[in-house]
Amino acid sequence: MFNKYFGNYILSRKIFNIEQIKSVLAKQQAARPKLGVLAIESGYLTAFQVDRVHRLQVLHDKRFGELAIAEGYLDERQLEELLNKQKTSQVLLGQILVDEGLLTYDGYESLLKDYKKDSGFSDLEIDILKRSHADEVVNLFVKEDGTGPVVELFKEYVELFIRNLVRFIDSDVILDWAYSVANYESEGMAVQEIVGDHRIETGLAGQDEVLVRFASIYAGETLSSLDDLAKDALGEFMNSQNGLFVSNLYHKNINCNLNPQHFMNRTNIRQRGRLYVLPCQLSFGKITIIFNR
Amino acid sequence: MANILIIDDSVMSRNKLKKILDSSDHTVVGEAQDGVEGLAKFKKLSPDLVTLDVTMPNMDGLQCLREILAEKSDAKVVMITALGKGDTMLEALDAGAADYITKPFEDANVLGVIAGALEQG
Ligand SMILES: [Mg+2]
Repeated sequence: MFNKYFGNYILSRKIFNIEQIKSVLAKQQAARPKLGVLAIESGYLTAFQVDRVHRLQVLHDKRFGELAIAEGYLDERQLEELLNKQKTSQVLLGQILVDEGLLTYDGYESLLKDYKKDSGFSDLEIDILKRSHADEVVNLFVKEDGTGPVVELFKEYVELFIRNLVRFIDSDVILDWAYSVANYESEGMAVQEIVGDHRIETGLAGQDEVLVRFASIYAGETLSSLDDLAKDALGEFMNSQNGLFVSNLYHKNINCNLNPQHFMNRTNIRQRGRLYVLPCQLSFGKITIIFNR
Repeated sequence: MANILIIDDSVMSRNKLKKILDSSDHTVVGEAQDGVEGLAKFKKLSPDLVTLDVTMPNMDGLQCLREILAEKSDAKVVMITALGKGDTMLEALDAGAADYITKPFEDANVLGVIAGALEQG
């Protein structure tokens, strides 16, 4: 878990003031090679063309890649290749904080300590993970389809989900065995699509009365049926979960974004690459996490 | 003491934010559930400050931010987001957002950020 959420911690806890954060973020972004440089290196654009795109950028508020495609200098595939290259260089956030003089090494060390105290898995959460045999669940997947990275991704997703369940909904969580299916049918489900480097459909499903209870706790209001407010609360829980997940990925140089969440009545989800289903036992009933990539 | 417009597609999040703001000396003058409605209400209500969710249907928060600032270049906009993503934050701050708040909300943080944004020149 170490350092996984550190970038997010810095952004969400307002440890530095807004001007400092802005300069750190700008430095982090500037530390990546410019797309124009990479385009010349790859032989896709000439210096003249790069210069032209830069001048167009001043006129139009558009991204380099967008304009290069509009000008016919790049195709989508080439742009994607360049963006991927751009991502391989990352400067650690801690490095920038120290370079910028915002932290001494001592300060960095103690900030990491605070962060670990604040954000590390609590004993309770570790207990749940142990009880749930999360590693074994994941190992099963590895055996099953051999796609390590997707399994790792799913594991990370589940760890975060447990943390959010414990923090906001219920401390009495037991994960059942996860499985993968071709189709998943559900009466009702809050769904949100993660887009970008990974395209993942995520969902939170369950029977109405369990979902209503879940939504009531998250909204902090007593809800009596699966009405608009309840559906909204479920969607917003997914949005929080996915927002944190996506920002963790970002700090590892994987760039994703979120489509707006919504609620689907009586749905049938079909698998893309893998459709993982993970039932979770809460004190008031069973919910199911859906992860379709 | 500011008149505040809340733009967020989630009614639950709007309610929570409104509760926090109502407990302070700020006034929530309007609510909108997407960027299109938000922009229209911004023009109509001329609030002192806008809280603006990032992930929304129709018009997302970043686009809405740009439209609001095109309308009034010194508008005070605080982004609200579940995304602690550096590039989204930086894009918003560079475009002219005053600050940001991450979901789920913490009362003290919300009021602190809003106070700071109102103080900015
Ligand atoms: Mg939203």
